[in-house]
Amino acid sequence: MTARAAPFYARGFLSRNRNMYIYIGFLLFLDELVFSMSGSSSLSESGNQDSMDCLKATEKCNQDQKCSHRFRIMRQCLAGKDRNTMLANRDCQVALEVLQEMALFDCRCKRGMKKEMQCLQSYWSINIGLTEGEDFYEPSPYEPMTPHRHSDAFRLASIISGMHSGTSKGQPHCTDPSRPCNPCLDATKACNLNENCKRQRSNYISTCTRAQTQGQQPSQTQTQEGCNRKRCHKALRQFFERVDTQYSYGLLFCACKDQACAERRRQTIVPSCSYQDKNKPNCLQLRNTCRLDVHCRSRLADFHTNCQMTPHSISSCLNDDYQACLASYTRLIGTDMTPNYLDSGHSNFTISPWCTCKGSGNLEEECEKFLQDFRENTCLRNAIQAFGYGSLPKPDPQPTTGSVKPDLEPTATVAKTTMEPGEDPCIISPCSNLNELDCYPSKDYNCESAEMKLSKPESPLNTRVEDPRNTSPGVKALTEAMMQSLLFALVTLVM
Amino acid sequence: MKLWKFAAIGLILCGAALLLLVLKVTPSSRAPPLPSSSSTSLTVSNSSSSIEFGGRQRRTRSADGENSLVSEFMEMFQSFTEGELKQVIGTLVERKAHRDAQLSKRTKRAKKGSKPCSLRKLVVTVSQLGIAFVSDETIAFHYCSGECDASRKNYDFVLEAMKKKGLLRKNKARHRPCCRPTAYEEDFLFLDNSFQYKTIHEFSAKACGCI
Repeated sequence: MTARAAPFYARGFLSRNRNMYIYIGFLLFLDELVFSMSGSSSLSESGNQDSMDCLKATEKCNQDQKCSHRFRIMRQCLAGKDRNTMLANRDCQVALEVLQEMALFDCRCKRGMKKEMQCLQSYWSINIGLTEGEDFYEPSPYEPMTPHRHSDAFRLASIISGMHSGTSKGQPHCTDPSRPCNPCLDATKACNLNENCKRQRSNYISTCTRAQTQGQQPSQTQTQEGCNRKRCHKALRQFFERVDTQYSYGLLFCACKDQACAERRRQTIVPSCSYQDKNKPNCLQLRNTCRLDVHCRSRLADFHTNCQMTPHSISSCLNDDYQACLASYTRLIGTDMTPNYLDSGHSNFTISPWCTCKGSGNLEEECEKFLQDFRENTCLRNAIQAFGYGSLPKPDPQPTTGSVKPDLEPTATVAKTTMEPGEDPCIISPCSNLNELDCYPSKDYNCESAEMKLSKPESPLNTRVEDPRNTSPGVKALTEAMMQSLLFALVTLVM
Repeated sequence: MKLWKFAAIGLILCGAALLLLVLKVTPSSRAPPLPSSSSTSLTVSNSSSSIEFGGRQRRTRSADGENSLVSEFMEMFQSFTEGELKQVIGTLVERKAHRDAQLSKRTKRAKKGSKPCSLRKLVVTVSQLGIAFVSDETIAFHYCSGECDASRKNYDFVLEAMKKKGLLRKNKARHRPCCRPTAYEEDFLFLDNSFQYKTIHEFSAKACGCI
C-alpha cells in the first residue's frame, strides 16, 4: 500500500493534500485487486453462454479495456459517501453514459442457475446505485418465466386435489365420502408416498422442529422454542427447489372447506420456527433487512414483478400468468420476508409476512401499501384459488362403466302324466261275467247298484280291488327280496 | 373298496335279472283262465254283444296287470334312487371338496416356501401403525418376509445336531435364520390430528436379510 502510494507522491503532487492522495490511491488499489481476482476466476471457469447473463456480461466488460475502465470509475464514484456530489462530477457522468450503451445493464439471471448467487451479486452491484434513493418497487433480476409450464402444473393440480370440475366454482368431491373433504391431507398423503418428497419434507420438518442443542444462542436468531431459524429457512428453500411442483404446490395451495384443512395448510411451513418470532417488526424495517440480503432482495423484487396487480386482465395478474405468481410466492418462503396464511380461516384466507405497520411514523402510508401487496393481492388470491380448484386444465372425461347383466332365468317345466282307468262298459262286463261264474247274489246286487249310482268314482275302486287278487304271495316275496338286495347295494355304495 | 363296488354292481344286475324274470312269468300264469272264459262264452251261445264283451275283457285284464306291476317297480326304483342317490352324490362331492382343499393347502404351502426373504410394502395410515400416534396421513410401511432356509450355515446344522443329541441343557437356541430388517428408514415426521409435528424412529424397514 505504501509502495503504491509512493509513485503518486513522487510524480509531483506536492502542492495538494497528502490525505487525499492516500485515499484515492487506496481506492484504486482495492479496485484493481478486486477486478483482478474476479477476472481470473471468471476466465478459469466458463460460465453460461447466454449473453443476457450478468456473469457473462461482467466477464465481457472485464475483457474490454474501455468498459473495464469506465466500470472501475463508476464503482469508484458510487463508493463515496456523498454519492450525489460524486455523480455530479463530469468523469462520472461520462462513464455512466458509456456504460449505459453497453449490454451490462440489460443482463438478467436465471432461476436455479449454476452460479445464481454470483450472478445476483453482479446484477445488484450494477443496479444498486443507479436510481436516486430507494424505489418502492425494484425490477426483478430474473428472466421472465416461460409460459409453457402453465398447463402442466394446473393439470397436475387437479390430479392432486382429486377434482374434475371444469369451472372455478365447482364443488370438490373426495374419494372417501365418509370423511369431510380435505385436499391438504390428500396432498400430504401424495407427498408421503413419493420417496423424494417424503425425505425432503421430513428433513425440513426435522430441522424446523429441532430444539437448539449447541451453544450458539447469542450468535443465531432464536425463537421461543429455541430452533435455528436460518437452518429452517435453508431447509425450506431446499424443499421447494428439489421437490416437484405438483407435490409442493399441493401442500401450499390446497383448497380448504373447513378449519382442520386450513390449519394443516397454515402449518405446512412450520410457522413456529420459520415465520413467527418474538416481536413483530415494522414492515418497512423488515423490507430493509430483506434488501440487505442478495437472495431475499431478488426474490422480493421477483414477487412484486410477477404478482403485480393489474386491472386490465380478468385474473388481475400481469399477462394472466398464474404460474409465475405462484412460483415467485413459493420462492419467497425461506427468506426473511417469508409469507404465510395468517389464521385458520378457510372461507377467506389472508396471507401476510410477519410484520406490522405500527411505528411507521410519516411512512405509514407507504407501509400500508407494502402490506396490502400481500394481504389484499387479488392476483395472488386468484392464482391460489385457481390452483386449488384446478379450474384451468380441461376436465378429463370420466369413463362410464354400466353394470348391466343379462338375466337368464331357467324355466323348469314339470310334465305331469295322468293315467286314466279303462272305459265304463268294459268294467260292467266283468261284473256280469263274475255273476255267471260265481254264485254271490248279495254281492252281485251291490255291484250293480253301485255302478248305476256313481259311475266315475267307482272306476278307481274297481281297479284297486282287482290288483291284490291278481298278485300272488309268491310275487310279494320276490319283491321284498329285491328291495332288500337293492338296499344292500346302495348301502355299499354309500360306504 | 373296489371289491365292494363290483359286488354292488353285481347285485344291481341280479336285481334287474330278477325283475325281467318276474315280468316273463306273470303273463304265462294268466294264460289258462283266459281261454276257459272264452270257451264258456261260446258254449252258452250268447248274442254278439257277449262276444264283444269277451274280447275287450281279455285286453283289459292283460293291460291292467302289466301296468300295475311296472308301476309298482318304477315307484320303488324312484323312491330309492331319489333318496339314496342324493346321499351318494353328497358324499362324493364332500370327498372331492376335501381332496381339493388338501391339494390347495399343499400348493399354498409350496408357494409360500418358494418366496425368499425380501422387502414388502404396505400402505397404511399413521393411526393404523398401532404405536399411539393419531394421524390420517398415509405412509408406506416396509417390512421383511420370506424364507431363509437357503441361507442356513454350518452353525445352524451343528446347533440342530447338538439339540438332537441332547448336548444342550436348554433348547432355546434357534437353529434357523430369520428374515428381519438389516437397516431402517430415516425418521419420518408428520402432522398429527392435533396439529403437532411428531417423529417416528426406525419404524419401517429399508433392507432385509437372514440373520
